[in-house]
Amino acid sequence: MRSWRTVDLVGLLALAVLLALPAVAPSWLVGDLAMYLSYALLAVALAFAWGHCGLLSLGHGVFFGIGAYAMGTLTLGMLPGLEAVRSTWLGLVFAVIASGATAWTIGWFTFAGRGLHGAFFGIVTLALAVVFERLAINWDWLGGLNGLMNVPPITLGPNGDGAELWEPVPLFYVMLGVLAATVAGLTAYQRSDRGLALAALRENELRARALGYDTGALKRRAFALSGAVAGLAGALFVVQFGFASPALIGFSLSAEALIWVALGGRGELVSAAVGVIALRLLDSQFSSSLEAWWPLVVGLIFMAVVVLLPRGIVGEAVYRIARQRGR
Amino acid sequence: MHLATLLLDGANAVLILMLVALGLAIVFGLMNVINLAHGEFLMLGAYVVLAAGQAGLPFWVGLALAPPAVALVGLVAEEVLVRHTYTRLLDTILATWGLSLVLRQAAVLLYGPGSHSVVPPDLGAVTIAGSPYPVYRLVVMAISLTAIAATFALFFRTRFGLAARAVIANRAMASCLGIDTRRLDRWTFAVGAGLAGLAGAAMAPLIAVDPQAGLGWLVPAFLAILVGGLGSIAGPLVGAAGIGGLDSLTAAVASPVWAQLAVFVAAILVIRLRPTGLIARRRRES
Amino acid sequence: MADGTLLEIAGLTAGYGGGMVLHGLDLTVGPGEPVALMGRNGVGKTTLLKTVMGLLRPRGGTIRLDGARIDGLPPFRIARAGIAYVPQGREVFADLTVEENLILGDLAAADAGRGYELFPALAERRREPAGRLSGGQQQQLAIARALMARPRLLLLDEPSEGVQPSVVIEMADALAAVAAAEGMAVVLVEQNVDLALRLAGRVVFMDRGRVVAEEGGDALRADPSRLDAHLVL
Ligand SMILES: Nc1ncnc2c1ncn2[C@@H]1O[C@H](COP(=O)(O)OP(=O)(O)OP(=O)(O)O)[C@@H](O)[C@H]1O
Ligand SMILES: [Mg+2]
Repeated sequence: MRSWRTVDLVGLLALAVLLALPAVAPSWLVGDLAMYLSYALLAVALAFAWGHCGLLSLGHGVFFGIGAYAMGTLTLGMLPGLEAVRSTWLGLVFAVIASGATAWTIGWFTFAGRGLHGAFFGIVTLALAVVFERLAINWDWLGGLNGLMNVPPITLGPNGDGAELWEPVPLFYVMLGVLAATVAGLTAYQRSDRGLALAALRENELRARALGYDTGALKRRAFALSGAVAGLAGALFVVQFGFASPALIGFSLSAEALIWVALGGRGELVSAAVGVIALRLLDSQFSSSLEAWWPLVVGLIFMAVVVLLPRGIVGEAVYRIARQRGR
Repeated sequence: MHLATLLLDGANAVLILMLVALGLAIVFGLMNVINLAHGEFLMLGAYVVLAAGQAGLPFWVGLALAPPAVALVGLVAEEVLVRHTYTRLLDTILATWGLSLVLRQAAVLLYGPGSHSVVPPDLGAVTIAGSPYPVYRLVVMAISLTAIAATFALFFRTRFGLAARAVIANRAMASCLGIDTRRLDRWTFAVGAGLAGLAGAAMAPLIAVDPQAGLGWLVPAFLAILVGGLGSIAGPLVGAAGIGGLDSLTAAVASPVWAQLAVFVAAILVIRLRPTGLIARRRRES
Repeated sequence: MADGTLLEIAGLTAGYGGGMVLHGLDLTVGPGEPVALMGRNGVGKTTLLKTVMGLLRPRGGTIRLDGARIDGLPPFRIARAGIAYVPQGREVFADLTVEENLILGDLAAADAGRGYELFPALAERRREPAGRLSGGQQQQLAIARALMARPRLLLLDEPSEGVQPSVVIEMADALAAVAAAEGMAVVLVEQNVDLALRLAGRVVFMDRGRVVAEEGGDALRADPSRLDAHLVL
């Protein structure tokens, strides 16, 4: 029998705990957790781009928001010429394609030739977040500042008909399934030849190029994949939340996603996912009691973690356990 | 709007953006730190003016206090936070990003999330090319120009500046010549923060003073640096002229939203076509 | 030989990352004493100078200047304690002018006159970027820059590399004059035997991170074949 990597064991353990949770947790908590799982999906997308590929994105909320707006406009029948189409399934496809294509386009602009230094890529994504938020606020068709209201929940029929999925427990399991499958799939990808090439590129782009890799194309594809996953997260968020607003597409969610991933741990998808769920739970505890002090506390913790624990809190714990086990 | 007014407002925006971009570029050039809290230093400058006004001090006192006060915040931030991340460029982004969140939240806690206005000093208006123009805006331009010139003088006419340029070129060798690079880093960061503080203080009467005030400057300033190129000190200024000019003109003929979109699209086009910026770094003899 | 010691290195261990290059090196240099350091490529001569200068942190052992520990100090403190360094490859600031390079040698100096006295050719090109000078002139500039602050000890790493022989002689004589006049000690790493013997009163041989032998300069000048014994494998 092969011996398991620590991070995989931690992932399986977390999965087991979450699977069992609805049996003991009150249903409002299960509903909240289902929502957090879509944030976890966003964090996983960001951890893949940043931790694995070295593409620090300060604007990952953009792809999440595009996914949410794509799902919303389609299932609300707002797309010109496609008013009759209301399918959740097509909405998911649309969200994934729209966000992935946007990410690919950003990559096309910034990874050409020798490409932008990683740090400056971050700045471009920050600008992207600011611009997209402004656009969403000012675009009346997208509901402007109010956003899209009354986005329908997941419908199981082919075109917006059939059973609706809004009960917390089934929603929770659907979300958990999607998250687990995504983490498993991306992890397998990271450990494949192409994933290893991406990791090599993160460590030393010049050498990767010297070895004959088309690093620009590799990065573009990886970033598009990450954007698509973030778009999927946004689509699955909006069908639960029922409401897509400019806050999802811009600066503040991007900033939060970055904090989740930095605190959880950018190095492993599992750490990022566990980190975001933990942080959201803390957030719901403290944001009302500490009010405006809470973001300040989070910001201070964030700075401390950046300086002292670059692997993140969960990531550091996983690393220490792994070193103990020797695996 | 009258053409002369439009051009003057554009020049105003460009000069302030140059000041902001210059501070960012100095800190990056010397310390290899990407300071995402630079916008918040600008915001702090505006709040210093606001606080001074609330304390009953004249506007000009607030304006004079802002740069040293913000430079002091920069000194502390450098000592406590930034210097621990010098060897990790991406982590400088994260650390200063965290700092920006904290500074914004501190402003919320002290002054609330809403926006405040600072009454501009009553300097009247002059008629330029047939239309009246507020004198205070001309003063802001003069302040920016003076500060930019002073920064150049600091870096090209003083021994401090010479040492700084040596550190930029070859940190290890500069250190071997007896230059205390730590001290230079600290002061450079303070100067960068002070420049942002000055920009924020001068702009305080012309903008809404709120916790988000910095972000709107940070992004264009960074785009200016990317577009202009980091190879020389002229790069950020050229970039700021391009970005600021395009922004003001598009905002005047269309709307601020279109202006922002136009600036972003233009910037990433330049980045695609000339990844090293318009003013590319000169080839060094090795 | 001068009495007392200026530089005293004992049991010095240092290297890069995991691998050690210096393995317990001992060396003493007296005040005003010119010493040449010779050894095959890769034995650790440059590493030794970098470690003395503080560019590399020693793993073990001590370095004393005038009896005071300087190991572990940052380079700028070591420079201010009176050690100047001319690195292998010169490392002049190519984009700065000749004059600016010289001033950087001593930021408290009123002007760069001392450097121009040493190598008058530099004065003619004071406003030009150092990168435009020939290799020999860049080497002169690097030496003049190091001497600006009147160091007590000069560390010179292969100054003859890529420099015309006539210029090498000129440099050696100028250096010898300053060293004699100001009582400056020199540690000269050099492959060029002529230069080493022209300047040094003592030659120290290094192998695999240690000092393995030492000869008086006069003895070597009398019988140059003794050199080969130390340098051949
Ligand atoms: N920056 C570095 N990182 C890792 N190893 C290094 C580094 N610089 C030198 N070395 C190694 O350390 C050893 C000693 O190098 P050093 O430069 O001190 O030799 P040297 O005696 O000056 O040789 P040379 O005559 O070629 O200048 C060599 O094996 C070299 O490969
Ligand atoms: Mg050497």
